[in-house]
Amino acid sequence: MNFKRIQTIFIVAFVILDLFLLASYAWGSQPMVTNSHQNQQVALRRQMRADDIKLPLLSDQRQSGYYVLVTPDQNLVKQTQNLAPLKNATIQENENLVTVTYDKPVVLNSKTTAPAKVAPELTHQKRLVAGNHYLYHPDLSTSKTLVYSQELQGRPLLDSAGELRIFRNASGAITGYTQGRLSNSKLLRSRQPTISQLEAVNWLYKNNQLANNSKVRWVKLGYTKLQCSDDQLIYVPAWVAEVKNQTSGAGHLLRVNAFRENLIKVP
Amino acid sequence: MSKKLRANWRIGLLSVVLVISVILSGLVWVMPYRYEHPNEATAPRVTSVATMAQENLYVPTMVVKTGPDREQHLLFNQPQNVVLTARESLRKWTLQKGKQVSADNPTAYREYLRQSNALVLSYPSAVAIATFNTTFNQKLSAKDLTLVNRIVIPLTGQARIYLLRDQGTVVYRYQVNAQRLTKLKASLLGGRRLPVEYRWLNNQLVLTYPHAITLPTYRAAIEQQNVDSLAQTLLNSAKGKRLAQRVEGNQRIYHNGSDKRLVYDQAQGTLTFENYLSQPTRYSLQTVYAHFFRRLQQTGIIQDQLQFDTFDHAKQQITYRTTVEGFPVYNEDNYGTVRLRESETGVESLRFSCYSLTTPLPTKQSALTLPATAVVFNGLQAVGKLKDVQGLRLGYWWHSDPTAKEVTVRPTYLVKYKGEWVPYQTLMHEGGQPA
Repeated sequence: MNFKRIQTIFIVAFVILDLFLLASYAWGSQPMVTNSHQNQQVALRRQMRADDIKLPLLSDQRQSGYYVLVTPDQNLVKQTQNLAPLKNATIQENENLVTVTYDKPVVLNSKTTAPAKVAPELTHQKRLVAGNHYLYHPDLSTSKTLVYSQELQGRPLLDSAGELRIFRNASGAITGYTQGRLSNSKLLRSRQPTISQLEAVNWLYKNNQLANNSKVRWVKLGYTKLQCSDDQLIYVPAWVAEVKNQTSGAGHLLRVNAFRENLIKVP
Repeated sequence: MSKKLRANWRIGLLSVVLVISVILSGLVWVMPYRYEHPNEATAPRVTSVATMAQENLYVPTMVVKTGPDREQHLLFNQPQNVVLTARESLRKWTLQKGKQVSADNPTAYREYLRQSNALVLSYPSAVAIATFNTTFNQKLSAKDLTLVNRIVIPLTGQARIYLLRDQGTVVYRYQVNAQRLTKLKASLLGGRRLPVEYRWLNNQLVLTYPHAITLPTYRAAIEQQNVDSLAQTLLNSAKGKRLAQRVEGNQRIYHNGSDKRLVYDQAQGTLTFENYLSQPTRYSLQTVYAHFFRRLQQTGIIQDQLQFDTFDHAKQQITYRTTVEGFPVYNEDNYGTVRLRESETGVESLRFSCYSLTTPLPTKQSALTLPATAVVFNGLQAVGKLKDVQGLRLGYWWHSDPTAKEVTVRPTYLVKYKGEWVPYQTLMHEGGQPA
């Protein structure tokens, strides 16, 4: 082999080496944090897929909310008893929840049978107190039970104390309802940031709250009772997720405190 | 000549590719160093996910608004949270073209803080510009300003922002693109406001209160952390595996047999963790804040209401402290305080309390009145201690009670005396207790 040939081989070899070094340098100077974090998220998704867990589209936008002090409406049962059309209805009260069973099912005309209009119409007919102050939730409702909730600081109250459940029979007539009502809200501290929808679901998975073969149907940010203080209640923003077993179809709700990343247990 | 060149071109080219490969090898070789110490001048790149919690930790805590006649008020308890709103707004703006407009001039520095129709957001102590960048989603170079104590936002729509560093009284002016002030202005409504004045005291900038002030008390739940599970996290022990421990008087000592040790003082509720590293690590000023944040995340300590308080660069020591509505909370046994240190000898130490403030509760006690700052200074002068005072801040006192499930914290002046923050009453007469 002549000298020129050896030189050419060396040039080619070093050019290849240079290209390789350049590539590894460029790769290495990518920001580490971004990579490792994105990788973590991708790995987590892959794991969930392997566990046959189905998720809706989730947002990584952080939100904000308040620690709110609220009082249950003590007058609700009295106001309900004072409604003239309920003279013969059964009215029960249990832990500030009022349950009314109409003496005979109420049939609404076709214009007012749209679920969102049922509560305002019943209020208009004086068969329900302040039903127009509740918001209808199609996700939480079934054909037999229509679920509505009050709002607190621009977000729904996602627990029974601020909820209205209207019951319908098979023919669509209203048989009665259970109502919780909160009044007098007061902020305990200034607005604070919360975790994102995505972080809430990741937290649930990492803490073994999402079983294999389950489906997260939806994840909503709403206010949930955290604890009692004397006769007042402290509410915090919580990510509430409905989780269904994909085989049996049985569902349940999970609540993650959006300020602290822990599970809020509802008795 | 050309013939000679043509004959030797291979040699020339070979030398060139050889030199390139040597340079590139060198660069690749030093890359692990680059991972841990990103270039000082270019602050780390911001990512949307990883840095979100960090931006909750390193935030300005005090908000002062200057009116049209340069009268100043401390703002707190605003429902919208001025600092949070400022952060949300600033993250959408672009700060650029930094220019130093003042330095080594305490008088001018104070004038920048007192410009009319502006908002001053102050950190409890200086943070690196990289930390500011992470919190406010900016890309400012550390070549200009390395540390920030205060942010001045004019509310008149001048499209300018000033960043101020107390040390050396440095003021930088930045141009702002895409500035929208509507939400920030709306966040100033409601809440409480107290008249204040910035003053220099023994070379320290102090926020003073010219009149007696009435402040609310705050109540919150106390959570006591499980020391066994903390020990398991800190000593990286597998779940269920019992750690070696021994009891010496009031102290319970956990150790992993080699490099990690946790001492729990049962009387005070304090925990001291020591981690003997194989070799000391020195972090640059721009990366050390993020490093301590990551370490804090790994500890398993409750971080409710915890915020950055102070950083000592010489000691490589950081303190995070519980706050209520931006005010620092102090306690005689350091409840609600986390201190992290990377010593030069390679010992990583962590000191914290097993008690934390968590859920806010409605307060049952009425507001308390504190005297004007001048009254406090006169009192300190009378006992001959004013000359050693290095700072004064308004804060809240959490009285120790290991059995309590909740606490009402009460407002007081804290005075930095000979390096320690103490309630002003204790300096007036020995053994005095805060109100």
